[in-house]
Amino acid sequence: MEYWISINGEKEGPYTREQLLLKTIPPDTLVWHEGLTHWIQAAQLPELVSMFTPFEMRKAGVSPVPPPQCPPTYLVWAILSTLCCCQIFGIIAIIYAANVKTKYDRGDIDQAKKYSERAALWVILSFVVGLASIPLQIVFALL
Amino acid sequence: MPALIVAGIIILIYYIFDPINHPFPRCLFYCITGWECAGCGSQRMLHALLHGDFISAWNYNAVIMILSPILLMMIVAGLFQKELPRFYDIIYSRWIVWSVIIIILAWWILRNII
Repeated sequence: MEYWISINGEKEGPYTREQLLLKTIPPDTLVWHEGLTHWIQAAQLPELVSMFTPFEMRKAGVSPVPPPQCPPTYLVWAILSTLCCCQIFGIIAIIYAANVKTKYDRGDIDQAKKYSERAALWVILSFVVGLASIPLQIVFALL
Repeated sequence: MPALIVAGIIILIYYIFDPINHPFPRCLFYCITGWECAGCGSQRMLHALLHGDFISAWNYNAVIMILSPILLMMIVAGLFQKELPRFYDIIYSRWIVWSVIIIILAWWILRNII
């Protein structure tokens, strides 16, 4: 995603999120990216709010948006699917699940969501393979 | 609620039937490789545990008994993420999560060589 910022009425950009994090802009800087209908303060964007300290926010008189919650990690399901179903897929699910919170703690909500979805996908795959193998095992047992 | 009903049915099945002498799903990993996976023995463990036989349960699968308190806490933290944000942060901290992963992998390897 590309961001444009407005400093003293001058439009600057485009910047990536990482570039914006490196620039020390005040929390009330007006920011716009594609999809927004109007310019809003940087502190109102959930993916940017983590770059400001509470002190900066108070000084600029900006009320913070509550930060979004960490997406579900599905870690327990990943562990259960590893222990009870298809181990290989379960391990992949665990690795994705373990990274959800790490990404979230870094303020990277998009990545956290992506890892959360991947973890869920591999948990489901693991359970499906585990269940599908039951008829196979019956065949094995009869042979 | 549906989750509780499913859990209840599963517990009832494992209480009544002993996986040792009833046809229960087998481990795909064990069937193919001949090595025990990290979860092997969990069905027999659950049956023993439900009958109060902790020693047998421990011998069938120790890692699940070790991890079950932390897994339960992870479930609770996930359900009450909004109400207990501090608890959620601690339980899903990188240290705890990676410790759990390393315990599982170490157990998986060690049980096959010891």
